[in-house]
Amino acid sequence: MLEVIDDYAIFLLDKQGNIENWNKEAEKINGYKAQEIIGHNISIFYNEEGRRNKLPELLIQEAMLKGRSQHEGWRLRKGGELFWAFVTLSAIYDDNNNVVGFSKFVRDLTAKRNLEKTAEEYARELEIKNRELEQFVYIASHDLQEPLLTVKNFIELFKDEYKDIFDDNAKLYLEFIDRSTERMRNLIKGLLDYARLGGQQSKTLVNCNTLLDSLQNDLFSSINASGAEIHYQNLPIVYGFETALRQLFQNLLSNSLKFKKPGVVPRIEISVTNSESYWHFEFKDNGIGIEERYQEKIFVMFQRLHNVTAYEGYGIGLSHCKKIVELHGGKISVESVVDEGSTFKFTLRV
Amino acid sequence: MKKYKDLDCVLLVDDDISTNFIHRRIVENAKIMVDVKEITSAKDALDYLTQSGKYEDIEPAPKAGIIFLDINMPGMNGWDFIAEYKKLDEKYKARIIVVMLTTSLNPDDAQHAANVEEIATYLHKPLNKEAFANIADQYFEVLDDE
Repeated sequence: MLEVIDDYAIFLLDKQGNIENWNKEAEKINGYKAQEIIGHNISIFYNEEGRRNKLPELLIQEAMLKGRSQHEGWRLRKGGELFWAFVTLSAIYDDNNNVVGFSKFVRDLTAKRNLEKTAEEYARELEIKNRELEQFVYIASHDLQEPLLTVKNFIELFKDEYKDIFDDNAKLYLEFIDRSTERMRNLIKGLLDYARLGGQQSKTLVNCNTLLDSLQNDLFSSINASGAEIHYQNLPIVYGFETALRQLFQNLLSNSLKFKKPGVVPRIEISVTNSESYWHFEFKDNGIGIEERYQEKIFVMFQRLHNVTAYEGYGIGLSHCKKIVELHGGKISVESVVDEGSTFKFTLRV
Repeated sequence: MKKYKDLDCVLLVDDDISTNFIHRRIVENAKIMVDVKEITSAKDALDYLTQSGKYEDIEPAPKAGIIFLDINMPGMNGWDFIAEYKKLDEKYKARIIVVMLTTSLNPDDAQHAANVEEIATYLHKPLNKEAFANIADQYFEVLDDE
């Protein structure tokens, strides 16, 4: 019967832990042939550290007292090679309930452990790289802001002190410079904000209904000016980063208001369904829509679809939305038809 | 003022108004007799070349001799423009040299440009008048020099 079991090695021990029999799998895992190993104690499988800590004795004792003991750790096979084993000792009783020996199950988990170790190392490396990147963006943004401030300051001085001397051409040049520096300032800020997203915050329960109520307040003037209708009800309470979630909804809202169809009252509908682990949000508008070939590009930082003269902006909002959604374990995408409107779909972990 | 054969018009295609402004100045300062047209999107550039869309009703516009094309534009970028440009009928393309101007220091862009037949050469922004004069000399025949 013992010969048939292949996944595990199983063999019998006497009360002291000496090996009484052996099977094919045990030979495969431990390296010893039956005649070499029978009669020897299981301590032969333990490395120096294990023996120093009296591991085999402790396992036998525990199995004696409790009927069973388990352990996961390094074992030695014939030749000195180490393997990662999962081991169970089970006590065998006679008719008087005395322990007469043990059966020992051994499984070689070295491959599985190697896999886990690699995943662990990889995760650690990723964390370090991410931290480095955020630090880089943060420092770069700060150092870049300073000379920019200098430029801005002196432009103001020029405008103040030389406005009577400058001809129209000079004033035009100054205007170009001013606009460019302002743009750069906003791009750097966008980069900085992106790096900061999610950091130094803790997750809380966020009521999406009250969040949107509050946002409608903030965006009151643009909502009023366009007569926009915003519909939502029974939105969930989400466990996440409140400030970031607020940013997410704000960006989507202000985009829908900005990219409305001229002459058409904006209508925005926010709905949600849920699956086992995610909230599925849909953010639907009736605006100008997005061509299919650009529906992925829009989530890339600084990517815009329109000239600044047509619609203002820096191409930052949606890349922030993407990062925020991913911070909450989800994904974001858009479905859209040009001239009909767009539906932004995103998921947040429950 | 030099005049080159078949170089009647220079098309500046860049979404940034100030860049087009500067490049116009540079072309004018190079003392070459040529019309300068400023266009702010790839789509408009295609319309101009095919005299359609936005440019449908204008009188026959001077045929573009050189196009200075920006890569980094919103929506249709420089590469997207080239993709559409390739599909154009030859009559819209004749005698046009397309030059990519880019602020990008990405060597991949240079490599990409080298592989595209329609692109005569690429330059880094900003265009300067020596570079422009060189291109005129290299790709066009001098007619007049007064």
